[in-house]
Amino acid sequence: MSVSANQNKYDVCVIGGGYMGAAVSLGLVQAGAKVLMIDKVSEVHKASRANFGLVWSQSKGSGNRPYARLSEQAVRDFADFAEDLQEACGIDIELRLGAGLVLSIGEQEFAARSAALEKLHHEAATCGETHPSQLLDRNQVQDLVGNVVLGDEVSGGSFSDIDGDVNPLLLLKAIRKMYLKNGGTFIQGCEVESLLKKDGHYQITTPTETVEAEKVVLAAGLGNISLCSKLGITIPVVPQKGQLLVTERVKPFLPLPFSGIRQTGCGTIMIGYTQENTGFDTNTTVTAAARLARRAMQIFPALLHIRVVRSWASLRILTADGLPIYDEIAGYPGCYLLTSHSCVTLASLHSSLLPPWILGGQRPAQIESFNLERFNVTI
Amino acid sequence: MSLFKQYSQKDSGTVTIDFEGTALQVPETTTVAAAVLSHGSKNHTRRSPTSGQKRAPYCFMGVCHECLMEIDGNPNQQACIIQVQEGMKIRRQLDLPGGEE
Amino acid sequence: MAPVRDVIIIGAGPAGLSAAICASGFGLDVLVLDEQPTPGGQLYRNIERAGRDTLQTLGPDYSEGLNLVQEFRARGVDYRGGATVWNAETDGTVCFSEAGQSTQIRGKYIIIAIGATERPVPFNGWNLPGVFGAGAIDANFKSSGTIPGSPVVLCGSGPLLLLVIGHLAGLGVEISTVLDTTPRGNLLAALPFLPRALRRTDYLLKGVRMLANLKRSGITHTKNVTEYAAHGSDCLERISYTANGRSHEIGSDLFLVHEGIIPRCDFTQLLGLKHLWDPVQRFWYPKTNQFGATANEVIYVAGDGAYVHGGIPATLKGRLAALDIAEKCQALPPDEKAKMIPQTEKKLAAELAPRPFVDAMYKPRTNLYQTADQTMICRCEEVSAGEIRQTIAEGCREPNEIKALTRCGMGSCQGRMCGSALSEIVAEALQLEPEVLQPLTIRAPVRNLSLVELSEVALLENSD
Repeated sequence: MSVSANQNKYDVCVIGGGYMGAAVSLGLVQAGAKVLMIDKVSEVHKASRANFGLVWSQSKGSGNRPYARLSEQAVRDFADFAEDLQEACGIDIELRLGAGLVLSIGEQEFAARSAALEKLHHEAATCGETHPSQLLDRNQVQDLVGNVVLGDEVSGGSFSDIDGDVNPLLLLKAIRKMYLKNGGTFIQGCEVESLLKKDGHYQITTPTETVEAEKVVLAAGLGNISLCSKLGITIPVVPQKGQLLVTERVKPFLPLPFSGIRQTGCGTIMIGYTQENTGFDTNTTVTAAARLARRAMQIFPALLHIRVVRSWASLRILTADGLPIYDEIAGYPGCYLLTSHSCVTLASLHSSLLPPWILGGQRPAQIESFNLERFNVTI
Repeated sequence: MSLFKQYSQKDSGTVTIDFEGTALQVPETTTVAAAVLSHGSKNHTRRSPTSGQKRAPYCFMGVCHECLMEIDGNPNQQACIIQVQEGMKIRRQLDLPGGEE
Repeated sequence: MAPVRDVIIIGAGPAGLSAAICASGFGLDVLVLDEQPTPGGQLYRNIERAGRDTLQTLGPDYSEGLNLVQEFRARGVDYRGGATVWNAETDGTVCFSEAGQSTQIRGKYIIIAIGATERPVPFNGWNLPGVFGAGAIDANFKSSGTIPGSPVVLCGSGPLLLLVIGHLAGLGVEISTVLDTTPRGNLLAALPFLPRALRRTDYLLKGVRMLANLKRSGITHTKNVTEYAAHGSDCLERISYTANGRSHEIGSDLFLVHEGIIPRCDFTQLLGLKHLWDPVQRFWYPKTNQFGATANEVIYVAGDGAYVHGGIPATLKGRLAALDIAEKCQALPPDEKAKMIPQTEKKLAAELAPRPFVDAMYKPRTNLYQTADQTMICRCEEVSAGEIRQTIAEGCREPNEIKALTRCGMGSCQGRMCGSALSEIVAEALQLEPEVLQPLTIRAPVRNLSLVELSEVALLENSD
């Protein structure tokens, strides 16, 4: 059997098939590129399997107006994005938009939330814009949640009328499926062993094959750390552990998602999450589980006897300032580094905004400031 | 007809338990699951929270979790491991737990 | 309760009891945590309350446990029945739930002695009320004195199946038929191990006797059954099966199935310990040395949970673990060590002589998990084999990823019933051995806890 000369040649090779890689790959094939997406199956560094599922803008971008803007745009684009996915691959990703709350317990948290919102609104106003969040007191929160009994210490919170949630695993499944339907190639269970810059293209080697791609996109989450080190670059990306609890199925009773508590489409309740700097460790701890359980009950006392069936921990991919990196690596034209810890929310934009730029277009204004050089990275 | 029946236990006393409002007199050495399946004239201990299908214990040793019943108001008790006590109130779990109080 | 104990033993079956007796005998402070209300584990379940009839019917395999339990009680070891352990950590910290309240505690050493379980083998209709494990019915009899109320059909393979048939017959339960899935050719393959097994003619004769009793009983014993299914609208009504290439169907209310026994690796997996794959019996078991010690200095495994060998070997393994720990605690006098360890090891070797033969005789059939697409693999979340295969066809190649996408393994039983089958289905689809696949990740709490109980767990860091 003769092997086609072009078989292992691609326009773009995307390393990483999680939310970031899959969303970008989708946009790339829709733009007509020949794309190979590679995913290494890894037990630890798979943030995409561990996402909470919020489609969220209200708490984002404090001190960074471009990021607040980006998040808001992504949320506003999400409904259309979801509709296209649904139409193309028939998977209902259980998207809910139009209401999201970040609850405060006690007066101190409420005061902090109030100050945070004020800052976000002020920064927006300075640019002649608005921020899609508002402060609610306890009574207003109670009105929103209707019959659900709030714990005595719930003091209020922030609300957004554009935020919501989605089934994160179905979202990933749908994006990948639509990518395949649009002619993309997807290889799973393959680790990239070497990444070499050649004359006018990149050579990517896995245990089973060697491919050539004009451009390469590093979208491997924490795996980007070792990929970049193959290029001699140390990137300012660190893991941050988040633990969470999942309950048994409960009759639908939470009418909207809350930051830290949401009821999924099948009735289970997700309760999260911690932010722990424990390196690459993904062990769950009893202390954190107890704390998460306590907070959930402080907010919704009705959860008292509901059973926790699972708990897990995963690693967020955090940059030094918590903001994304979307950049072409200096010295490596055609090699793009993409990283963000909010890849569910940003999926819509990752698939619409980034591909034209990757394929040679102008760097979009919206991502201008999310470069690598702000970290003084040595190359 | 019950799936199970009591094998004669000459040296065992009995207790009275309440199974969904019906008083049952059962040997004191029996487990809740066995009591329900042999004296309670039901062939199942719960309905699956996923589909509502009737389920009965499969393993009788605390692994399969099909024996989860409400005992004295406490949900999700492993009835195949728990022994009956005088006055125990036992109910099948036929529906998802409600979130409201 | 003291926050730190010399040894915490999880499980009060033969291994746990024996370890407790031995360790406490050398003056160690022992705590036994057991989810059952009374000691005995599965093998000697509820033995303290067994009447003479029961002891007689179940025979010495059961009744010999009474001495063990009585000796355990006589030692006054700190025993907590109804205490369900839901977390274990590599430093010996353990969390358990008792009467709706959870406590965290630490052992300088932990002996995991939670034993084994009947191999969960999904088949079409296994979720219907009326379908039970055969060993389960035996356990149910021990713990409640109840027996099947209608004629039963028994199905499967393994020494325990024969034992249960004997018990049921002795209890007067009508057995309609026995469907034997032991593969043709197993006996031939087992013959090389027979010479060693002949060292224990008593053991072999027991098996021969059980088979002879079955033959003499006149119960239909259909061999070479290669598949079976249960049917009914909301409970069992009929059973279909294929034997010698031909299909049959029979009506029945009760279907008891047994396809072998596998170690329970709940805690050993939770602890991230190394496991080995047994390609003959097709199960994972934790890697331990001759004393049951794992690579983690603090954690030991004893009994069927270390490898499925049965009751007497379990008591011996429990003793070996306790002896090793006693030595580490400098509580084992050298002359006792010099006597007891070789003595116990010799007894264990003798007990294990017939095992390779038995394991080969009852090697599971190769199509054990090749079940129809419509079979419900995950009972809790109702995920079918077809759905799993579809997910694999769409590119997933790892059990944990399939779990994430299909919800298989996400229910109350936390993957205990579907985990083996999931790995085997993936292995078959990818033409691999389950050995190279990562089993389902296990995280605490390994039992379902209420939020209130979890929030109120009495943590070690908060104790005085």
